[in-house]
Amino acid sequence: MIDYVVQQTLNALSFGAEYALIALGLAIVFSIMGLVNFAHGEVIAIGGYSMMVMAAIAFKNPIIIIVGAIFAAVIMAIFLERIAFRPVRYADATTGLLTAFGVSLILQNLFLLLVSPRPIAVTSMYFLDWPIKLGTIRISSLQIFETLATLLAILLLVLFLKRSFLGIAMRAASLDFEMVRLMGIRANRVIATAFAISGLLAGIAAIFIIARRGAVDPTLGFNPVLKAFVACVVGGFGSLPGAVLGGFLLGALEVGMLVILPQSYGGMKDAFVFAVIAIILVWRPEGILSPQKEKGDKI
Amino acid sequence: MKIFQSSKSFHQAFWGATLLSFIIALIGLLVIFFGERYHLRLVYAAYVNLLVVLGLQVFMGNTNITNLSHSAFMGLGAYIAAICVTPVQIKKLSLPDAPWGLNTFELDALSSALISLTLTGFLAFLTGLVIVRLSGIGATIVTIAILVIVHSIFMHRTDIFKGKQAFFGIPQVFDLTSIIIISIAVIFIARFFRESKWGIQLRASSDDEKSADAMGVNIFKLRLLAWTLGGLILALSGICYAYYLGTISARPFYFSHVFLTLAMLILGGMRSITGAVIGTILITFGLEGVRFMETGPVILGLKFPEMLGLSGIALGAVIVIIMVVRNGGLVGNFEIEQVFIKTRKKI
Amino acid sequence: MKLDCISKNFGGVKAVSQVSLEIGEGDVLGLIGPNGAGKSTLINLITGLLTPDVGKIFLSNLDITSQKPYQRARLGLARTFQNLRIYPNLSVGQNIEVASISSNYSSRTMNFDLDKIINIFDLEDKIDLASEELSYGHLRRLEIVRALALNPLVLLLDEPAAGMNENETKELSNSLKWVQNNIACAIIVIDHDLKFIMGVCDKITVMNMGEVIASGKPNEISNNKRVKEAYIGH
Repeated sequence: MIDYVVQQTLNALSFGAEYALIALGLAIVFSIMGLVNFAHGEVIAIGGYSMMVMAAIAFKNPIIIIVGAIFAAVIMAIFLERIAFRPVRYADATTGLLTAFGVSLILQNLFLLLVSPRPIAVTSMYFLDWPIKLGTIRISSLQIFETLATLLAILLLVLFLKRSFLGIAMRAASLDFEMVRLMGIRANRVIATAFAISGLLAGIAAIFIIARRGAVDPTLGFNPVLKAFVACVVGGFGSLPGAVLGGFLLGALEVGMLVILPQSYGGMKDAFVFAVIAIILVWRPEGILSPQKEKGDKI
Repeated sequence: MKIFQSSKSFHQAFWGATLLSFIIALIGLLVIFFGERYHLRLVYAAYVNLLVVLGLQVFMGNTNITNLSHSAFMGLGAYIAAICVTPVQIKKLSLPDAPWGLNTFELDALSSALISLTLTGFLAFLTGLVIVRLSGIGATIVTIAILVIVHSIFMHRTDIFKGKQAFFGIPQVFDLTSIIIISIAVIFIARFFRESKWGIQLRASSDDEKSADAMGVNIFKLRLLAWTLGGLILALSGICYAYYLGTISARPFYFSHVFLTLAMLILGGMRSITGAVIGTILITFGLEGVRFMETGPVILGLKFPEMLGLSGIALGAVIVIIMVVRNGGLVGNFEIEQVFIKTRKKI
Repeated sequence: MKLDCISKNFGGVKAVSQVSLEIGEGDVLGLIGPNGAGKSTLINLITGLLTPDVGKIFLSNLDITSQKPYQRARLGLARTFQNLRIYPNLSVGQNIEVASISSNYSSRTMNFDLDKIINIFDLEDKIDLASEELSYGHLRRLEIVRALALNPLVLLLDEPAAGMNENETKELSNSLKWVQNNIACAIIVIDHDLKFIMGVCDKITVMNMGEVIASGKPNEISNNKRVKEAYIGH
């Protein structure tokens, strides 16, 4: 029984780690420029496709492929900011959201048009995945890697935000963007950095998703990002700790649903998870760790 | 109870809706008299999309909150009506394991439609209670949650909805003439709502929530009203869909349809009914052209390659370009009667 | 309307502390004080955009402390905003209608003619314009007309003359005088332009650091020592 609980906890952690990783990428962009970046999923997909390309042109070294995929995702994120999101930077949230939707739609269909609508095998990350047996507990090495990588990424991000000049500027920007500009820090730089970090996190997520699924298709990132959005909203949109908390909470919920629900309802897992999320939002409309709202009389 | 604050609002709403109805009826009549048989089906589907876009406009256009669950409500409307209206013999065959005796009764088309409207409207009201309490982004995410929940219920309760398979045997109740009439009615409803006292206050709150609050606007109540009314129109669009095609399945009520109708609304301009109609017409025609290119046609002796995904790219590009260049859509706040009534200068 | 010892803190900063006031029909009260004195916070507390930590607010002997902003507006608290808050996608007329619609929900009867007010504030021929087309001065007037369309018991004007030139300010003073004489409501005005305030108000309250430091007739205030100190900053 204890084994079973440990097993499921580990499962929940690794699910949660993936959502937290993606949710952080969404939250960091949102906290700075108020953009709900629906195209984040396609940044993840770019990571996946770049692995496909690198494997095809005979790169065998996994380190090169990993670094290359992360690099591709970072470049993609910065590129999207430059061409699509900069023009709507100061527009209202709805405009930004719809722009991101459009970008996501274009990219998904570009993958479909230029590569293939069907999944394409990418096996170069399989080496990360081997079964580990601890007594009766069976887990995959991938789950451990994923949880550890997420924790490491969070740690580095916290260090960056607390210690580096740019990181401090970004934290300030999330509170009052105008102020940071008045201090003489270039808005473009702060925002580009936020996108670069989100791309980096997306790249890491892409590696684990590919390692698990072994194939890439145009909607590779779409569903995980939908979930990550939910994680962000539940945690409190714009709050980085909230994104992490929301991610792990969502992981726990999913595993919990798989445990509780009878086999025949397995396919409805998402429906139940989303329903629970909606109930949480009724209880706390602004999310669990929402940023403080009342900022004085600036009304 | 007064619906319009001023008679000017009523006149504008009335003439605007009348002009749009005229255009919509004209297009329909042209197709009825001159169109080929296969045109009828396409045009009928376009009218259904027009209803969806109008249903979407009622909430989104007046509140400026992005809704992505509209195809789910359309699907609910379609399935509920279909389950009620399909003859028992067919249901015994297609839904042998249906619970709650769903395969043991059949109703006439009107009662089925009314039941569908009531149930879907009630569900819209319940979900609305959650939606209106959330801020813009949170509300949008919950609409996605609704879409996902409804879709996975359609896909996995195959004993009721048949999932990916076709739910068949729905009698054909409507033809092109009926949907033209329904479209006209809905154009009037949407336009009257926009100019009604509720619509004006709601639009004020979408421009500036705090200021509207300070001017006595009960934002929650009005949003709930718009959400529920939108839900009813969406249910109606679903009913019309099921009552013509005869078969439905879960797939069309998901993201690709959400994006298609969203692009229609955004292109024309979501704040205006005229915009909703224009956007629907433009995208419907434009997409036919793009789909033709997708199949890899031969034009002037040149063989074009097959280009799957082209229509998606085109829709995405429409959304991005409109948002970047002119986020009010092609017409912004403009309504068609302003061409003729010169009282309001370029609003 | 009566405020009973209301206070509000923002993270330890006393934005408004122990403020009490009373104002009745026909009064015009000026609220002045240096930047950060808590004037706008006070208005936001009265209209319900913020909730006080302590204290109660009464309107015609009705405790409205726990009412939402829209409910207070319907009960007769109307305001304008320091930074203009016009609805840009509505026409000038519709901007005003938003408030008239709300006034229909109250049981008070309108004791004045709204069209007359629109005329006085020089908006009559602009009623069909898109609100974005108005000049700055007219946008300020539109805010006041919109607030009056609520048929208010208390009208709160947050820096109505901000950004206006001398001529416009003078016209505004005259319009406010007309409102005072013809509409049965109390008016609270915040402004930095002391000349304007002295001209339109018959009573002035001075705030500094969240507290009321003086209250009285305009000439009393201009001779008050604490007020001078607060402004000059000793």
